[in-house]
Amino acid sequence: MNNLLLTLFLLLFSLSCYGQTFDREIVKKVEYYQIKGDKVTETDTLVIQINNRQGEEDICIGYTKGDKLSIDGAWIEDMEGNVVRKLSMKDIKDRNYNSESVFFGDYFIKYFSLKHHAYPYKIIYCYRISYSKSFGACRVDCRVEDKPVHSGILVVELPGDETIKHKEMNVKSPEIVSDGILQKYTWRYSYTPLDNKELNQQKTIGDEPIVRMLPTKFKYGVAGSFDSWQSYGNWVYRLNKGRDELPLAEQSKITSLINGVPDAKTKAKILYRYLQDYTRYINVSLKLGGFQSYPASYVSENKYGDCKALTYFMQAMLKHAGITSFPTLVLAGEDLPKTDTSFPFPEFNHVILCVPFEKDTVFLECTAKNIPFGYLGTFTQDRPVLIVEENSSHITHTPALKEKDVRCSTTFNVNPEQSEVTFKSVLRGKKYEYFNSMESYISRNQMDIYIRNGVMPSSSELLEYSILKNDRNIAEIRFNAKVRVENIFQAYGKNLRIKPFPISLPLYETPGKRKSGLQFDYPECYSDTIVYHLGNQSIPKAPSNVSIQSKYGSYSISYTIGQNTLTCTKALSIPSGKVDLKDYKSFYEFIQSIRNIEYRTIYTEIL
Amino acid sequence: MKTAFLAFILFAISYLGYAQKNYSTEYGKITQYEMDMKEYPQDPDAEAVVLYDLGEYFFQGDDNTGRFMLYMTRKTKIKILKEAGISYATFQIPYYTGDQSWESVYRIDATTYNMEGSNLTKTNLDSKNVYDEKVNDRVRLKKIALSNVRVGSIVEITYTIQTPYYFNMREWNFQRKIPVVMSNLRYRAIPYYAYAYIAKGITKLDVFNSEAATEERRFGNLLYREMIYNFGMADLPAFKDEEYITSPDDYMVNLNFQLSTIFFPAGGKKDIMTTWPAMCDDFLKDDDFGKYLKNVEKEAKKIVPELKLTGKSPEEQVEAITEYVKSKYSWNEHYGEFANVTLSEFMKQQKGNVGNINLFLIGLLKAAGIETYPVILSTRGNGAISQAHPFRQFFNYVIAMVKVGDKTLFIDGTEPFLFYSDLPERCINVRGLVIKPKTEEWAIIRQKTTSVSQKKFDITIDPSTGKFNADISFAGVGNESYKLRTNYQDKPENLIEYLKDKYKINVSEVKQIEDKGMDKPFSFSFNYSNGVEKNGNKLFVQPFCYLNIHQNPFKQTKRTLPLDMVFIKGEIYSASIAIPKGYKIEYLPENTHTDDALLAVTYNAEQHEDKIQVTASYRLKKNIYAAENYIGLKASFIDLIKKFSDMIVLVKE
Repeated sequence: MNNLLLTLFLLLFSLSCYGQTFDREIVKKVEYYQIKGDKVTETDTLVIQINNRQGEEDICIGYTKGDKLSIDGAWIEDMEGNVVRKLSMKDIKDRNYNSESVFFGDYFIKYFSLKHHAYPYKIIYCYRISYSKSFGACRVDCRVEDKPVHSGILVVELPGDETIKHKEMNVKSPEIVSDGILQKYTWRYSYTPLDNKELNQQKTIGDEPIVRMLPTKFKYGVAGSFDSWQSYGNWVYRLNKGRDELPLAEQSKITSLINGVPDAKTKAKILYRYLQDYTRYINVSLKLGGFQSYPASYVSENKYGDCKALTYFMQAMLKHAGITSFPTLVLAGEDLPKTDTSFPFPEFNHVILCVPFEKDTVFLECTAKNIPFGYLGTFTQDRPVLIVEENSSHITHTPALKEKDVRCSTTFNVNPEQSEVTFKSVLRGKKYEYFNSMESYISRNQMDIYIRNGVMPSSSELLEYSILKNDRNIAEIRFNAKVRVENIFQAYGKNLRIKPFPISLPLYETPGKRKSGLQFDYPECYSDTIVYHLGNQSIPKAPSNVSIQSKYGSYSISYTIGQNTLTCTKALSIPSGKVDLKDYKSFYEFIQSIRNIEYRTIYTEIL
Repeated sequence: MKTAFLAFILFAISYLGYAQKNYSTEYGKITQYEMDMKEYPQDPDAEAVVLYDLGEYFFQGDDNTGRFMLYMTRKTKIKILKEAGISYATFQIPYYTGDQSWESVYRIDATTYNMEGSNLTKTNLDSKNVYDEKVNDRVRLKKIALSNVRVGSIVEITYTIQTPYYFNMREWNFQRKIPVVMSNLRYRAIPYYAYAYIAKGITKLDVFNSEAATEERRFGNLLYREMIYNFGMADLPAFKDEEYITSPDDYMVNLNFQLSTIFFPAGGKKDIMTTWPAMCDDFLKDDDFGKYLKNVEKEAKKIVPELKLTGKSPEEQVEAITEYVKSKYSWNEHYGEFANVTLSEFMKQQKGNVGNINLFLIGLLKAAGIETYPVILSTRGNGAISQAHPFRQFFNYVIAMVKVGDKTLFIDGTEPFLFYSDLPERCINVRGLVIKPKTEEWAIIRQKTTSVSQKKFDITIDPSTGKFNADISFAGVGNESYKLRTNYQDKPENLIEYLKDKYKINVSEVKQIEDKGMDKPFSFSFNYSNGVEKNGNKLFVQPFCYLNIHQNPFKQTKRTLPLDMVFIKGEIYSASIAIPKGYKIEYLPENTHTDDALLAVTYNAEQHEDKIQVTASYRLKKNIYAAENYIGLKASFIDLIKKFSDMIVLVKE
């Protein structure tokens, strides 16, 4: 064990036993970065407390081909600090690590298993990675941490003349030690996340420790700088410059596709459709693959690529058509906090294409085969993005989904005689995306199982269904189904009990139990009509109408009696935005009052 | 070698589909019909269809090693019919990398065919787009994504696997999750290696023939003649996944090859496929099985006396020993019928695989004088064992079979939340081989106990506030108690979360949690209050607060596979409803009682003074039902759910 590791161990003070609400806790985490130009070495030591069998999992350390990873020691200690088992180096395994979205890449993991029978116990291990390429960017972000970190230490050591930038939130300023030759920054933090994920939980509660640090200058493929988003974007631009050459046959194809088309937007739509129909998403990520795109010719030949390759291919096609467009970096996904635009940092995970037209600007998702031109969806809507443009890269914002984009409406026709309900839904927003991807990626047999068990109300039996998309240029899908539902109408003498068909609302935590505020990334909007066919019966009085208006949304339900029918019309709308924890109680009352109405059985009398 | 096929009916080599010349089996040849296909007529929902799947397995002498190598070539042509079918244009070919020799996948060639206007275009696979992924130290994957693929494309691929490992003759899957027009395997056998063929899901082959090769072959000094077998099937439907089955592998049509005998050119032979009694002997001699067991029995002389078994009945002794193993040793979640670490290491680490734990348990039981035998089995997800083929590689688990008086118990020591004589789901409804010297004895491993969920409701209603208040208790017996105990994990808040997730109710507290032993029911209580349903002067009361069964477990419109429910199970509800002062009963659901070979259902509602007592229950009589019982069960559940959801109507006097 070398001196550095000894120093690290000296940093590990008393290892006390922590509360055992969590299956697994990080007692101590020390990350030690040594940065010298583009040479970066990371030496980490972790002490993890395993509280029960659920907390046990293999220890995995990721690296990329070309990096040098060595695991310097790993063992188990009981809570008295006795070493009960040491890892034998021959038990360390190594394999490719390709996530679900990566077909093949340079990523590997070394992994091992250390387990003990008596809980709690501690696993202690340390490892070192010498990166073959790195920005030298270091980060602590407890917003994405699901385990407590009782003592976290981030140490960065770099030459005295190196300029760095750093930003911290909920963490004290770093201790800085400098002797002119070396400078060393040390941040200390601790954090306990919520022990359960809550419904519509805010991505950030506000108290999570965050540290970002990077040298202002770096070399990763080509030299670059984090001085500003403009300089970072320029590095991305230069790394990918000259990769937009299309083969002649492809150029001819494009020319023939847009021949005679007068306006830029129509041309772009034709080319987007061509992209969707003729290419598919296959992510082969090698060498600088995380940042550098394959050339457009690669996609042209293979008719596949990852998000960068497909986006740059689309850009090349548009360029051939005389249309300017810009690759745009985005932190995509619904569970991640948004990019901090005040501090340039390489944390994007996806690329889309920004196409400015005369009257508007459109963002194109180039990896989806069946969404309309300009539809971004829940994956990338409403967030800051970096437009990559030579010398003019800048942050902008993607458009947000609005109520009209997410409204789902369903008409139920309830026929009590056969216990059958037919319904016709128009689905938008998240539900549109769900059905759209089911239609594209899974077999009918799998879809039957998902719809039967996951989409239909649990008390119904699916008899038949169809999924229709009338126009691929409109972000909506029609889902029609016939189901059998028992006990729709129950007559007790002259009393008629009618089953409701509630809007599916989650059961929120009671205010006493809730620990975080709410966040709705996009609105939720439903409008349903239920027509109960009463056969030869008629009813004299409809249930009362209700309307609720609140700063958290609006809801209405009304009934009309027709000839042997009772029609229920309802609408629910919850706007996007945040609700602070202090206001949660009133939100809960709002949503519960709607839930109570929605799930309430309808009673009436038969004439 | 031929015996496995005596049961097959021999058919002439004629594939009906191919008789129409719609399809071509010639590599590189595409018919107009194939190119024009918009859907597969026999299955219009199919996202892709295998037009042909052709294999050839053969041996060839390798001059470098002086040994035979096994070669397996495969040619496949697939038509992409829908967007979801595009995934069939990516291929992952696993191969084995041993310590000394590697398998290799080579001669990979693939083409994508498309129509561009009226022209047929071909896009050949570029070898730089073939990737090699390391899955673990032993297994790698060749990964191939074909280029230029879209709906309407036809993809064709061929490759050869070369292996020095004769044990690794790949199984031939006739059936897939997409339809297969034609699948044929040609196997060129040589006189030195005999394989047993294990057919799954095959009642007849459309093609089976054999003939001696016309020419002799030579390798070194060996002169031999190949025997050529053809196995073919046509028009195989897509395999449709269904709920409540053991493993899809148990039902998909395939042919598995196991090396059974090696014939030495100089004379003599070595039997690989053994007999079940001989296999039992092999297990008992194995270092990680029989010898490990012996070592445990020696070690047990120190352990057993400390367990204070004196005065206990044999059954109590079994329980005490099992609970000792469960409390002191934990499972590392790895299967295996063999111990994967030595006994001393296992005892030091107090953690091990199934073999370590259950062989340890068996050794202790034997040392305590209890008649105990290891039973090796294949878990539910691992696929069924063919009783006609004594191969040890089918097995992946071991449990204990204990004889106490005239009782036979099956015991597993890996799950601490299960009662000592209850088995985890993975071991239930499978067949196991009892390991006894020179014996073939099979045991069907069934769960004896019934899994029952009990719910009790004590309801009072306050008409003035329009609310009801219910003291509710939930109890689980058998597997149901294991489920509740697993949810609980010694944290009451986990039960609150369980009620929220499963029943969509928020309760503030759970109390009276009773968990007095794995053999006892697990129970807990809580209070639940909600609005009572009211119309005019009438109150409508759901006696089980809507926490009764409301979801039919049988939702398929048709069923083709047997229904494996794992456990015999049932639910019991009872409710006591205090009739509020000034109210009387207007409607009480009718009592019913049905009991047949499949299911027993009862419902009983009666007034006792100022209370209404309601009891309802159902019990599934079997744990495995034939597919033809499915529709009947489904209809019975529709009726019982309706009945159990019925309301009581109270009216103001």
